[in-house]
Amino acid sequence: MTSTRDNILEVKNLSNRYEGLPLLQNIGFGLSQGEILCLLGPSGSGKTTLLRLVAGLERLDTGTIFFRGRDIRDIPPHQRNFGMMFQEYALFPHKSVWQNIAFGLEMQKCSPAELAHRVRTVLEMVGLADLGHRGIDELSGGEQQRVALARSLAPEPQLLLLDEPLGSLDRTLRDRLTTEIRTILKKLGVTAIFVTHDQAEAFSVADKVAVLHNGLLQQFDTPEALYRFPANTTVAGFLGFTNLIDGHLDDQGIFHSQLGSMSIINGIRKAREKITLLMRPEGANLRLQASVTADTPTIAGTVTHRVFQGSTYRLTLQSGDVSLTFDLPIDPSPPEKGAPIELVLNPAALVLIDPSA
Amino acid sequence: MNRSRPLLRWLLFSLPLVFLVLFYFYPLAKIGLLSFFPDGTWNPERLSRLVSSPVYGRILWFTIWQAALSTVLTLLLALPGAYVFARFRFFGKNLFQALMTVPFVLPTVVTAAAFRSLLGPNGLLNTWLMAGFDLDSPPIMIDQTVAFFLLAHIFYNYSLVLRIVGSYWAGLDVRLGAAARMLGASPWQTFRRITLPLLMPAIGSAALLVFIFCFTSFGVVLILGGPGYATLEVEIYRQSVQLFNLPMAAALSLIQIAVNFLLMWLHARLGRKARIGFYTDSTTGVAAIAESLGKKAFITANILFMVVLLVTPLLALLLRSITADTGLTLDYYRALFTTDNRSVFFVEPIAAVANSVGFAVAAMVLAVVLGLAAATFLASDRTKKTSFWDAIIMLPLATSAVTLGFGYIVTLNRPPLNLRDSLALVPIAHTLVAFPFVVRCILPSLRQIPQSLREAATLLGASPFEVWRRIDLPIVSRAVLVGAVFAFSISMGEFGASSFVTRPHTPTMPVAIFRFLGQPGDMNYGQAMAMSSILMLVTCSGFWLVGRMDGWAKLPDVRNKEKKV
Repeated sequence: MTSTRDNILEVKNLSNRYEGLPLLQNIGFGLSQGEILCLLGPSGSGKTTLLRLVAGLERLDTGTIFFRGRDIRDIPPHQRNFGMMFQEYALFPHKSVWQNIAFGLEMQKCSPAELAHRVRTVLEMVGLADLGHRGIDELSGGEQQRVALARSLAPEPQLLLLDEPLGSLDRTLRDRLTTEIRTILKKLGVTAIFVTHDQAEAFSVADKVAVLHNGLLQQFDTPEALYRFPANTTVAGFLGFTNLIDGHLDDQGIFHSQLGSMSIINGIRKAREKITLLMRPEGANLRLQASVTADTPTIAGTVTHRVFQGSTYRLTLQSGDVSLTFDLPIDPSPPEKGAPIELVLNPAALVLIDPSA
Repeated sequence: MNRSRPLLRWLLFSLPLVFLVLFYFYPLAKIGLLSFFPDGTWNPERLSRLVSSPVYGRILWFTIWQAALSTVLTLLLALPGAYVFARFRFFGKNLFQALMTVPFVLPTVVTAAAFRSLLGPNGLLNTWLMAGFDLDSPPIMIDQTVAFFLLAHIFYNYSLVLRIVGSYWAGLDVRLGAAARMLGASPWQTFRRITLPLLMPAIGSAALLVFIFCFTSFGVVLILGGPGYATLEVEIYRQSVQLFNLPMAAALSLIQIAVNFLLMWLHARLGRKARIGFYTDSTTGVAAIAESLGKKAFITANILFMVVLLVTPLLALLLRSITADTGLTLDYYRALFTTDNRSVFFVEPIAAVANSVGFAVAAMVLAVVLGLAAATFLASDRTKKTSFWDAIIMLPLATSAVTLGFGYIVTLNRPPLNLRDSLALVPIAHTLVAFPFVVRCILPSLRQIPQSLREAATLLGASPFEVWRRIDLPIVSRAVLVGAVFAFSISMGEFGASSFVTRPHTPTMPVAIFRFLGQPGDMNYGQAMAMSSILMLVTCSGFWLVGRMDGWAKLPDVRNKEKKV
């Protein structure tokens, strides 16, 4: 975790219940100036609630939230100067694009000249300079999303909160807008919290990712660290990893499982009765005679599925009772379904992780 | 879970609540007291004697009987029309749909006057028949009979049934009928075994509403039925205003309240199951152009019937207001501006127009303020608790205006709340009648506003009041306007409560029309027609305006999830 000193947002021991059921338990994290944090988790994981607690839209049961060293629990949401972008955008239907963006500035009692200047600036920034007069219902989904971003940025919020802001858009548009949002936020140096259930979106937008599951903070890390070293099987499962093999780790650091014994260099190093091996799907290649040295881990089995995916083959093989899936390069082309196969594993793609959720 | 400000909400809600307690529950409680303590002492025997008396039974029986008959007749006549409007497209459909709202907004007194102008002894039809066939006496003798006010009831409720059943029918999946036909059912069997059972909730709901309206019918029965017939409402009026038998009137009111509550409760239950709106949108669904000759004839017959039923009385009213024995004249309108010594008024009759408009504006403002407060409170939370308060607010709808007016004269003309000489009594009574309608107009649009809009405004720095003023209010402004027009029209046409609380020097238009109709002579009759015409034009133009506004103030559907990409 980041050090407490330079954090502008500090969430400590936060717990919340809804109708008696725990929704969030003992959440704590910090965020420093200009960082973008992604709250990543499946629906029902509590990520939106956490965002709304920071916004002040929900009442906090226990825990504290500090912003710039000040306890903000008793500050009503409209006095926090946080911006928020909502699911489905929540654009005011009775106001034009211009009026939507001007709303926050009007609330700040901004002078008319300054207001016009600021609205024009953000409109240009999101590439909608000519659409100020338009009604909300005259915009496409992508345009609405930009207006919503512009509206939340116009009052220059100290913290920007984004609640699945791209949820209702199609894949291609999402990918484009994700990059665009990150570029704009970084240009302005805005500190932001971004909620999403989409792992790819989180990775492309965030400096830090917080994975939430069942109201618990599972892991708080950079995207790369998260991908390389998932904290446990829950996180691994959520990231889409399926090659998880249970076993135990002995005193010599040797992992024993149905697949035999292997020496693993990543992840947990201490001896454990119960431990899980994660094999990332991109960490395998067809075994070619020349390429193998004695201590390189390998695995042999029978191909049960082979799906061509463009840049890779998705290949499932059966080895004993274990079924494993890997993405292999298309050259050399892997064997057909039913044929025997032997794979060389990249030691860096093998990680020992905590099996308990 | 949401941050809300309970104190603020309740403070807001206390406005309509205090109003209801003072001007609804207090008079109603007093009626109950008056029934059980006629002389200030506990005397239930007197009540039971009243209830068991044959007069009492006869009135109750007559009230139920005429309401049931009105309901059955209306259903029989309106169901074919509902079919036509649900399943066919034809020339002028929109115009006919607009026409159907006319009876809905027409004051009872105007309706009564209109039917008299068409079919009464001095009515157009009789005058023409007498002139055409050289008769000495009017050939149509329908005035002062049951048939006359039954006809008025049909006039009133025909379009109500057509609207409710028609829109429900239009929403039924046409493929269900097609499926039945493919399984070998004849058109009649399809109707009887598929369509009719599916329509039952709508028919039941409509029938119950018609029954409620006819059960509490006051103006038309009083004017068209004459002294020979009395429903509960009319009898309450006679006992209290003409015979000063307040305990009897109170006992009758008590029955009225009980039956009304029961009926409204039934209606609410039915409506919840079938999701039938009281004031539903116009029909949507699959409508076809009639092809066979038989269907064309069927549609034509229904439209003709509708036009004859709805238009002729109103045309007769307008025509009669400008015809005298000598031909076309504006004398009746002119007479409204003069004070006659023998007149039933102490002021020139045209003052009634000013009175009515003044009262209606006051009632409108009050009803909108209270309605907005109540709707804002109800929309801010959707729990069991709010649905209880919702029901409380709707209670005045389940109470007849006559009972209310009677309640006022037994409570509000003495301390602690002496309003006998106050002009405020009329607008207060009208507000109470109109306020639930205003809430019903505003509440759905308030509830449609996604909570995220308010949260977005909050995070942009708007305080709760700013959010209400700049988000809620502009979005529901059209609904507020519709509610205001409703309130204004209800007040303009209100007769039941007004007949109790209007003071002799400041009559409202319906009260003035009633007085004119009760006096002999062509001049009084003509002035009744003239004033009814004015009242009709005022109320209809209000709704015409609202209809016009549909176009320009329509908001985009904020819940629309389909995005244009």
